Amino acid sequence: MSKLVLVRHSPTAHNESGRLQGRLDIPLTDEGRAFAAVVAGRVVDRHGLPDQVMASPLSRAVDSAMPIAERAEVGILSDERLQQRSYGEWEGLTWDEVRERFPLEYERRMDGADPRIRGWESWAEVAGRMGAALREAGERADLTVVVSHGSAITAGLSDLLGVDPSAGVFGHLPHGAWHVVARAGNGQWRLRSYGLGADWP
Amino acid sequence: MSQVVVVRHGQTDWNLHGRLQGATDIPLNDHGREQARHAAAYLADHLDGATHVVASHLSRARETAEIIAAALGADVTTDARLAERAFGVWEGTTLADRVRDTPLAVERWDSYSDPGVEGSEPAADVGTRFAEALAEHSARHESVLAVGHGAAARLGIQSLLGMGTGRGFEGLGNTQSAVLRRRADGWRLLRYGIGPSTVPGPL
Repeated sequence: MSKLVLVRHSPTAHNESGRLQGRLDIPLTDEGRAFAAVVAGRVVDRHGLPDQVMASPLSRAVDSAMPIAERAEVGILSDERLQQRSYGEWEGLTWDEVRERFPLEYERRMDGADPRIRGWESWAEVAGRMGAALREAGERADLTVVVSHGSAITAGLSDLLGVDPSAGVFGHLPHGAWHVVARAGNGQWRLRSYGLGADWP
Repeated sequence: MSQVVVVRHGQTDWNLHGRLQGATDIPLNDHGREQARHAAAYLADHLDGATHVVASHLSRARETAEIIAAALGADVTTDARLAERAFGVWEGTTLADRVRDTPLAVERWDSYSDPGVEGSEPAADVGTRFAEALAEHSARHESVLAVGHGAAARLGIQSLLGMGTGRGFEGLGNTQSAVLRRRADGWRLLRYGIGPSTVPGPL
């Protein structure tokens, strides 16, 4: 049985000031780095040492994965397909700024749909690449920790479970929290846990 | 904003020995009562006496609910729609028994189709009744805690989320929880399979 532990990276300065990052490579804050070490302890306590640790190439993901990889004494495998969704012209803006400058497209986004702006990567695109990366990871090891990003994780999880990512079924994943999916004998991925490591909602 | 917490009952001897219970009324064992007390202490940090606690009529769920409700300062209501999926002639069997005696039905069940053995309840029916119960209780109470069962909770939660009763989630482990929030246009999953790190029981 193959298991994937999908962890959201720890906070950056943009996360703290509510700015969208997308493909912008914003580093962890000092607190974020310290928190990543705490998260590593929680993940290993719950699931044991992973055989494989993967991360999106963005530094906030790599640096969040580092303490887990160190405990497991493995390298971090980088996969571009694990990156956060590209937010296009919204990257760097706060949600208030988005609402002011793109009122109609903001509403579309709040309804869970893809806004029609330059550079936006659709749910379908993110889900397709994340699903492929996660399935391949699951073929290579029994226990894989994957450090990625909020929307990307939602999209990837949706793809593995056959759920429409724009349906809004899956709620917010806090930083440093994670989901667990397990692959059954017949190859189907199933959700075992959602939002482990998070405070009570 | 309405929130529903779904908890699976604590361990029974049949859980321990891998025997499918379904509609059979097997009580908690002592470890199950201890699990329920731990879950109650954790839940009491986040919920209070205003929470509407409801459980299936099966004693393993009702007793788990009573232990949790006592910690919250709440009463327990019973709702038979939260009962476990009936498995008919499979009740009391282990996986080895089923693989030996009804291998094709086991294959169907593994791929999330109805096993179709005599007396078993179709997944869609279970999902619908469990989801209806959750929706109804949450329409009347802001905070609901429902104590149910592995297969029924999985099917009910998937139904409530509009995912259908095919593949999706594994069953909750004993005293593991799920948390759902109702929004204007449907339900959202916030947590699933949180609580003690037990291997999920049979579905």
